[in-house]
Amino acid sequence: MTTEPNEPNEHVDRTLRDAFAVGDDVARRVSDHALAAPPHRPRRAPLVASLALAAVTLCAGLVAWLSRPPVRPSHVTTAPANVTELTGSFVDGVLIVPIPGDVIVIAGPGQPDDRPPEGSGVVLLEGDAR
Amino acid sequence: MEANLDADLERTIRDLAPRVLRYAVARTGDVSAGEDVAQESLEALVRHWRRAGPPESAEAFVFSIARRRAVRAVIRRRLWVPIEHAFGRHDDAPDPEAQAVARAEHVRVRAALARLPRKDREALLLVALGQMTSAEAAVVLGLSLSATKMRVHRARKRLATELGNEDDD
Repeated sequence: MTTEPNEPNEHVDRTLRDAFAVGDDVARRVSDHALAAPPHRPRRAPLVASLALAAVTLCAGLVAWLSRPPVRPSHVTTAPANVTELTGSFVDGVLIVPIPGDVIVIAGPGQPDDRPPEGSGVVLLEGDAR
Repeated sequence: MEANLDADLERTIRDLAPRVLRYAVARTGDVSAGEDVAQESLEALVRHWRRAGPPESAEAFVFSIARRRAVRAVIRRRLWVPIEHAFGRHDDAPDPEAQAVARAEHVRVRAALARLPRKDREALLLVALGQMTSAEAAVVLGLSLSATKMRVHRARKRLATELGNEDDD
């Protein structure tokens, strides 16, 4: 049978109880609130459901963002503002377009090429003609 | 019959309230968090009692819940307090000198408690502040009676030494 010494115990316990003394009014308030507790615990389902929904939405957004197709540079070229229409024709797969302006800017997938036209020019295009 | 049950419940709650409050305040290190923990634990007992009758040991029931909730409260506090400080939402209530002096003992004991091994401290708080018997504390801690007694004894001895050392300084 084990025994616990009493005197030092009492001193330490009293020190602890004094340090963490609780007012009667606080104890009464806590008791009153506890005794007035509703019969069922307040449901937290809506909060949990909202959090779960937010998490699922976040994950779906993340997956969609990660699986987005890689961005490719556009091959669409736009005509300069001062040129309303260019007309040309294909000859043996080569599109021949007369250039009416002063400068032609060819900005293909490679390097841009600025050169002064001499009344007309030849543009080599790759890809399907539509 | 039901009136007797309610009277027993009320008597139990009134008896347990200051004990669980002291334990929860010491365990969380915060008066308001301690009050929340104590109240939630007592509410759980009230609900259980009214639904299924009194548990085998009301003390063990309440203190087991208080212990778990106190852990959560401590974690929550550690997470939120830095944020509240960052947003300037910490308690700005004036802390007059008299209040500071009154709290000095509390702070000193808390500091000494913090130096105890966690499991020993837990056992001591249940017995000294929760006023549980070693057998009841053993149920809450999931330890054997002898192991619980040993932890409480060791914690008391160490705490007495810690407080004594401070007095010597």
